[in-house]
Amino acid sequence: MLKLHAGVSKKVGLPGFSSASASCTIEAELDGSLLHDREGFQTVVQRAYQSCEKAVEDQITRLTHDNGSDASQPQPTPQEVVEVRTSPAISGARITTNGADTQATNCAVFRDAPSPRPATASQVKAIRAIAARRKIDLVGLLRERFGLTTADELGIRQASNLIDELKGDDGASPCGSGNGAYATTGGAR
Amino acid sequence: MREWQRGLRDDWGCSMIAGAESLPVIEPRSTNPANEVAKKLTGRDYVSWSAISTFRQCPLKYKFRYIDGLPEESVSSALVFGTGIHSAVEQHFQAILSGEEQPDVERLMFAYRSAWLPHDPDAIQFGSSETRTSLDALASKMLTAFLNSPAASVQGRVLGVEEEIRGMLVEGVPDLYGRVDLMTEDSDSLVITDIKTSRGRWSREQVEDSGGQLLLYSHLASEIAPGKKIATRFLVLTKTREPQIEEHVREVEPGSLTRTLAGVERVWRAIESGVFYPAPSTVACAGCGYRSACRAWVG
Repeated sequence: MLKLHAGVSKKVGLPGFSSASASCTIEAELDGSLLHDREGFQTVVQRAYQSCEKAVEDQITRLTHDNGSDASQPQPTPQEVVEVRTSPAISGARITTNGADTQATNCAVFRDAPSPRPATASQVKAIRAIAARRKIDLVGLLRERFGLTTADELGIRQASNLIDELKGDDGASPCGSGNGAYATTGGAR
Repeated sequence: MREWQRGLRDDWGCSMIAGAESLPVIEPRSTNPANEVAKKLTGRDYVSWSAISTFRQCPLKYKFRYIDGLPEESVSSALVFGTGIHSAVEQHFQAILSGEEQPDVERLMFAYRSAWLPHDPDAIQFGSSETRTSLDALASKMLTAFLNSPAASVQGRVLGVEEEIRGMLVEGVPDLYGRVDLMTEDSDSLVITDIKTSRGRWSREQVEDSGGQLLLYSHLASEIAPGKKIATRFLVLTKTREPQIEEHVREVEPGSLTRTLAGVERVWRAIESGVFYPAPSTVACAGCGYRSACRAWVG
C-alpha cells in the first residue's frame, strides 16, 4: 500500500494583533503501481497539494474578508471535510464528503485572539523531544487534537498546555480551568 | 505593529515527505520602513540592543563592526567565557521545559566548553591572571553554585529559552531584534530573565543602569501574556572565588520605557547621520578588537 499525506497551512495577521490561520491535510491511499509511474505519482501528489492550497486560500479569504464574522460558522465548499475550531476550545462542526481519490481530508480554521504569538522555538523543541522520548506519534497527535501538521503552528498557550499534558502535569494551566498553583523544579544535584 | 520573527507561514511549497513533522518557515515581510534604511546601512533589517550599546560605548567601534563589517583582531576571554556560561544555564532550563532529567555539572560543562570551539585559541585575549584552565575551573564552580541555588528552579512555567524577539518600538527606528535568555510565567506575572556573569556582586545602581535592554524586551513580550504583570529579572553569576548567584527582580513600571525609547531613538538618529567618532576609555580600549583600525582612523 502506498500512502500519501499532504498538508498545507497558512497564517495571516489581522488588525488588533489577532490572526487567522487555516490548514488542510490530505491522507490518501494510492495504488502501489504508482511507484513505477513517476509522472503519474507526481501528478497525484501535485493535485493533492493543489487541492489543499485551494481549500486553505478559500478559508483565509473568507476569514480576512469577513473579519467580524463568527469563525465557528464554516461555509464548506463541496468535496471538502471542514472542521472549524475556535482556539483553545473546540466548538466546531464537521461535514464529511468523500472525494474520489481521497480517503480523508481535514481542514481546520483557527482564530487566535487576542494573542497571535506562535509557540516559542524552545517550546517546539521541547514538544518534539518529549514526543520522541515517549514514542508519541506527534504528527497524528497534532492532527487529531489541533488540526495541525507541525508543532510550530501551535500558539504559545496551546504549546504550553500540550507540554504540561505530555509531561503529565495536569492542572497546570494558568489560563484554563487549572488552579494556577504549580511549580516546576530544576533544583540541585 | 509588532511583528514576531517566527510564525507567519505564507507557503509551504510541496513537501514530498509524507508525514514529515517539520516544514519550511518563511519569514514575515517587514512593515517598518526604517528596516530598509537599516539594511542599506548595516546589511541587517533591524537593530539589536548590542549594536545600540556598542554605539553608546564607542561610535567608531560601532562603525567598524556594523557598518564596515571589520573582523575583530581579538576576542576577549570574558566574552567567550560568558557565552559558555550562558549556553550551560540555557541547557539547564531547556531540560526543565522538556521534562528531561536535569543535566549535572559535567553535562553543563560540555555546553560551556562548546562555546570556545569556534574561536582560534591564539585570538583569545586572556586577562593577566587568567588561563583557559583557570577559567574552566571557575566555570565548574559557578555552575555548581547555580545548580545548588534556588535560581535553578522555575516558579511556574518556562515559555522560552534563548528566545528570539523582534518588534517595532519607535516610529522611524528599525525593529529591535534580540534574544531573551529565559521567559517564564507564573499565575500572575510574565518574567523576562537576562543571565549575566559579573566580576562581583551587583549594586542597585548596576541593576538600574542595565535595565534598558530588559525593559525593551519586556515591552515587546507584553502581548504574550495580556493582563499579567511583567517583571524583569537579572540572574547574575559572579566570577568570584566563591561564586554567588543573585537574582534581581523588578516589576516593570508603566511609563518607565519613555527614557529608554528616547535614548534608542537618538542613537539611531546619530547612526543614520553618520556620526562616528572614537571614544577613548582606559577600560574599554584595553580589550577592544579594533585597536589597529582605530589607530589608523584619521576622520
